[in-house]
Amino acid sequence: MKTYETTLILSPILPEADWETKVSKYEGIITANQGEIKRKEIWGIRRMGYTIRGREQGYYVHFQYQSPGELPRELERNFLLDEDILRYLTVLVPASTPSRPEALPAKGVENAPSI
Amino acid sequence: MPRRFDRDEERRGERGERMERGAPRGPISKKSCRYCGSRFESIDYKNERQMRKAISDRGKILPRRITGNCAKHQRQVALAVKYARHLALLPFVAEAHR
Repeated sequence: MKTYETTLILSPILPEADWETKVSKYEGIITANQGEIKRKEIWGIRRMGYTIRGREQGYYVHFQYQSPGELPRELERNFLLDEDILRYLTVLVPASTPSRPEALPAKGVENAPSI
Repeated sequence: MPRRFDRDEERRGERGERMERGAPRGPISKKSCRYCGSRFESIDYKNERQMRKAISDRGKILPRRITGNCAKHQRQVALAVKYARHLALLPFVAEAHR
C-alpha cells in the first residue's frame, strides 16, 4: 500500500450539486478499490495560471489516499472519460525518510534486525 | 538578465573589490540553500506562495546561481514547479509576456 495524492480541476460552470456528486463518485471509486482516504480538501473555485479549454477558473479538489498501486490507473481512466475534468495530477507521496543521518540506526547495534 | 560570473570573478567580488567589467558592485554574499537550513520547510508543489518564489517574473524556474539552492533541493524545486504548472497553479509564461 502506498500513499498517493490526486488533484482534480473540475469545470467551473457546473452547478454546485454536480461538483458534490462528482467528488463523492470519485471517493466511491477510491474506497471500492481498497483505497483509504486520508485527507480530502476542497480548494473551490480558483483562478488558473492559464486558460484550459477556454476556462480561466477551475474548481479544485484534492485527495490523499492509501491504496494498492492499481488504483491510480483506474482513477485516471475514469478521469479521462469525464468531460467535466479539465486537468488532474496524481503524485506518489514519498514514504517519510529520515532527514538526518543520525536518525538511522547506527551500524553494529546489538538489536539491529538480522538480514 | 543577471550576468554570469566565472569563478575567478566571483572570488574577487567576495573580497569586495571591483569587478573587472561592468558597473561597480558590492561584495557578493554567499548564498545558502533555503531548504537545507530548516528541517520544517519541505518543498510542496501545492504551496503556491513557496512556488512563486522559485520562478522569475517571466515564469521561468530560477537557476541555482541565483537562488543558491543545493543540487538536491534544486531538483526537487524544479519538479515541484512543473507539477504546479500542470495544475495551472503557476503559469508557463507570465501573462504580461504572452
